[in-house]
Amino acid sequence: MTIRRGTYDATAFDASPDDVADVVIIGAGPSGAVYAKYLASWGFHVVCLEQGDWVGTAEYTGNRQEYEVSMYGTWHKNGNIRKLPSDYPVDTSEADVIPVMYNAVGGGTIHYGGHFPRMLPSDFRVRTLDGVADDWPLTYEDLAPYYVRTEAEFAVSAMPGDPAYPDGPAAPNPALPINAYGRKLAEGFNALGYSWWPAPNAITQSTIGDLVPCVRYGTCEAGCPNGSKASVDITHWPAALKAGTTLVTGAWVSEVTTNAKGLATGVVFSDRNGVQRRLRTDLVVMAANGIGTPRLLLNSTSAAHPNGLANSSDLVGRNLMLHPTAMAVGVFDEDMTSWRGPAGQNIHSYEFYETDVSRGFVRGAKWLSMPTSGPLVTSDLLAPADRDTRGEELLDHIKRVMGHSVLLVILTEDLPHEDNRVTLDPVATDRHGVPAAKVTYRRDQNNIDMVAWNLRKAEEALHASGARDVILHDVMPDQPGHLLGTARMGTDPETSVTDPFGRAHDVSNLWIADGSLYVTSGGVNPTNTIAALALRGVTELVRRAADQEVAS
Amino acid sequence: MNMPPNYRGVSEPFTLTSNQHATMLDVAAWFLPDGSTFPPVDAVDSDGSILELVLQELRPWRRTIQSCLDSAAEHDMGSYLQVLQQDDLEAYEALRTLVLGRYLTAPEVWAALGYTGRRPSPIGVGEAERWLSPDLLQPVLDRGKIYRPTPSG
Repeated sequence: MTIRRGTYDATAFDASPDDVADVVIIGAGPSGAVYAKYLASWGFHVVCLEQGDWVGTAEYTGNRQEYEVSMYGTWHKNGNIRKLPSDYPVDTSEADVIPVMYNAVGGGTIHYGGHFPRMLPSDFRVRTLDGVADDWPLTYEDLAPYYVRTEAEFAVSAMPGDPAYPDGPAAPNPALPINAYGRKLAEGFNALGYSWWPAPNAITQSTIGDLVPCVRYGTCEAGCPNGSKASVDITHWPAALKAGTTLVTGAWVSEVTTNAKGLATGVVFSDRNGVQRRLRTDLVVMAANGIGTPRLLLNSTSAAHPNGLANSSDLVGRNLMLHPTAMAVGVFDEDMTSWRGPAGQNIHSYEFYETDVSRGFVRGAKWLSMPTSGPLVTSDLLAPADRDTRGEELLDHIKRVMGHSVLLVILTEDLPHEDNRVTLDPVATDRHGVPAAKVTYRRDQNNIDMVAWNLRKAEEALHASGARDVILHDVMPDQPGHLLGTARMGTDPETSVTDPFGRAHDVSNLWIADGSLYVTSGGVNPTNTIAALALRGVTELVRRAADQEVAS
Repeated sequence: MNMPPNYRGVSEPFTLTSNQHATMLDVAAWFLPDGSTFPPVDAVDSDGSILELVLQELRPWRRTIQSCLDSAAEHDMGSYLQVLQQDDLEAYEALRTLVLGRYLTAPEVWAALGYTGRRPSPIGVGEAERWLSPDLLQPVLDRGKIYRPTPSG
């Protein structure tokens, strides 16, 4: 074995063609990090291939004068605009919502807001309770122990006792302050009799591992310049590397190779100079997110897998769910310094999360409040007519809203549809000639009705909170673009891609670890669930390891 | 931990020619004509340091912005921008972000708007409890659990 341990760039990868890794993980985001840390602790030699790079805390702009401008350019949510060397093109010309991803060590946790809710018990039983979509092959109770461990590893701040959830142990940190704008909103919810609670966040208030206490820059979605938000480059990768993992950056995987029996034998990847390399392995873990994982599986065709790897069900890439999200901006007379973080969610409400058929749709939405921002971003929160003004009139509008407002975000559940999918782009490729991803995603009438109804209720709630004006923003194309459902888990190989733990039905030494596994989307931010599912999956992988069939 | 080199920042620098710079100021003057309350657009960023920061962050828009500034120089600014907004909204928004971003990043404009910028604000002992007192959560607690129990799988 000559595969060097530690982290280095793919251009320096010098393993022998005879080397066989125990496990190759594709992607160093949250699910890949959970797998790597756990497997390494059990002695497996893991090689993780990540096409992005490490991002140092000093690269984040949140504590700099130019922070807001960076959100429109180098830190844009849309990789098609940002165009970092690690980004690959995604055709979104037929998508109502744009997928949001970040290719780096840390993956989506670099760019996420640290919102860290669990799914609710009913989310796992949608077919049974509401007669739509499918039940998950596990229950909330099955996942609860893994949520507890995940929340500890992500140094979550939360208040115990949330009435929207079954009781459980306390998080490592108490809840973050709800600030003046959270209190203002909570008073309105109380007036209407709505349930609410200080929201959980993967943002620490104490020194835990390499994380340090939050100082509320409120810039989480462009990376935390203070190192307080739990991104897995801080929370997981140092331990995984210390335990002997190999983490190769700048490694663009194009294909998972298989043998005549259909077992995975290795991967093909290119370094940033285009030099193609091969690596043999006993086991492959896909952790490239809900777009990248189906893209690579579909690109990995062979005689044994003519429609792509693990795709005998024809479900790889299908049932994409993206959490369409709308927003109501409440503008108040009082100055609440509402750009103060963390951001981070502030308070949340599950008042309209469960199905009530009298509303005209099934399932529902989570409401969450967030801080606003400085003047440039505030200019985009204005009503369209105000945004189109110029000069003093525009600046007066900005001054009226900035610091005086609260964002009430409506994160909705979108039901799975097979036509909402990821396919290989017939024309566009990445920098190494691998077909790009094409995303087809249309919101259904249930979701359109759900958003419209919730916006009306949010407007009422903000007025009840004392808002002078309410500005409604219908579904925002780049918010949040969670990547879910494209290699769903289940018990039946005809209606699912993996078993209830993430092992592919068709390929016994191929595991899927990321949000692709989702059966239904729920209406909550997914990172906690993705990480908990990964922890549950890798625990099972280790339990079965002695009987694991391998190609070599 | 020895990390490999980072390639994130490698890209062509984004600067403006003198003609593009002059046109940028004309664009800025169209979006932000002088008034009486806020600093004049040509009075901020006198040393160009803010523009430099803004351009670096808008590197993904370099070609779009440079092309638009070159084109705008040949037209009446108001007419040009109105047509651009109709025909190429993405390019229009890039120009808007450039000039508003430059202006709204200037400290004297922040002062006029009442914005302090991003400052570290450590969480004080007892602060979280203070925002919840007295008894802000009591109605929620009185109502009790709201989740829907499920048959176990």
